[in-house]
Amino acid sequence: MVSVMSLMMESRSEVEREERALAHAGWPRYLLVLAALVALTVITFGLSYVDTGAWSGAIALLIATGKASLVVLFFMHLREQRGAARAYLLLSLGFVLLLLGGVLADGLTRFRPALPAGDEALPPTSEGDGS
Amino acid sequence: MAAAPLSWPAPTPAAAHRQAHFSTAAQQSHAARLGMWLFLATEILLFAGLFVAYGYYRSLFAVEFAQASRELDRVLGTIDTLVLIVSSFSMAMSVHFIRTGRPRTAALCLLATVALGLTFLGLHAHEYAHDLAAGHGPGRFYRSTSLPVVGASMFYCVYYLMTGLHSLHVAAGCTALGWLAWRTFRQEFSAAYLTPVELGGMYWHLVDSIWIFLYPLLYLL
Repeated sequence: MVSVMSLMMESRSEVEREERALAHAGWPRYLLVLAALVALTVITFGLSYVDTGAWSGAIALLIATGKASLVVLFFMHLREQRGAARAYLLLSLGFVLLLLGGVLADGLTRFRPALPAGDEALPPTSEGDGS
Repeated sequence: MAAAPLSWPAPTPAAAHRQAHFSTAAQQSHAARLGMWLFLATEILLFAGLFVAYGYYRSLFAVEFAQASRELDRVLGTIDTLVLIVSSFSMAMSVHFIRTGRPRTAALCLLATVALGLTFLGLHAHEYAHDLAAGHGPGRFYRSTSLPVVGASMFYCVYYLMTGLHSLHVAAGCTALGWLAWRTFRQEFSAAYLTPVELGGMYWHLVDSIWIFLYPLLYLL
């Protein structure tokens, strides 16, 4: 019983701490985050004109992940929050990756003729109007 | 201890909004935030289906996807991105101004966020008109023959579905934030109680985060 009480006290102080942290989030930090987001957007736009070969996709997605992390941590204040809020986000992202990984593993390992065909399957007279 | 009820503090604005089953206002706003995160997790899973469709068809039609992506206006896509990023900033600032006791300024920030959201939708309508004029319609409305038809039309299907679902979210966000701007202007929120604005902001930031991924996938790769 004592331990349940102390747990409740602890979680309450955790909630109060979160509330205090949120109340003290200041605008200079928002301005810095905005500057970083604009800079990363300009960088990824510029890089799209540079031939970075096979890495271009990975670099662009890495920059996007960095930008989204800034938004989630600072604008959505996940930085000041603990526990379940973080678990919900990470779990949902985990399931997205699981679904993506499973579907891609299926598509990429199939016997080639079992995949949907591209333009080679169209009759040569096709005008591409879908008929 | 019989005198304890008499020593309770007078109701504050926060206490006035507190439901009986929460012991403190902080606990109530914490629970509301947690509920919002759960809802946002379902939103992520909703978009996940389209991200997976993109990944699957891109793995099938890698060359065609890259060619079709180059047909989109990359500069306009970048402007879209900057518009949403600045709108997220003004959203964060409106929460800040409510916390520091400046509701009128907060309402203006919310209106700026809505205006930027509407700008984003307008830019997208312009892009759609341009795509359709070039024959890059969705599904059976695909008329262009300049690119390999099967792969490029799949790209445009995924493009319309992803940006369309996202634009619906932007429109919903604009509606919700417009309503919150009105309530903020009427001084319904203060540092003691601002949960609706906080949650509206979280929704807006998530919609921005999703666009941050759509932008490179559709316009840059």
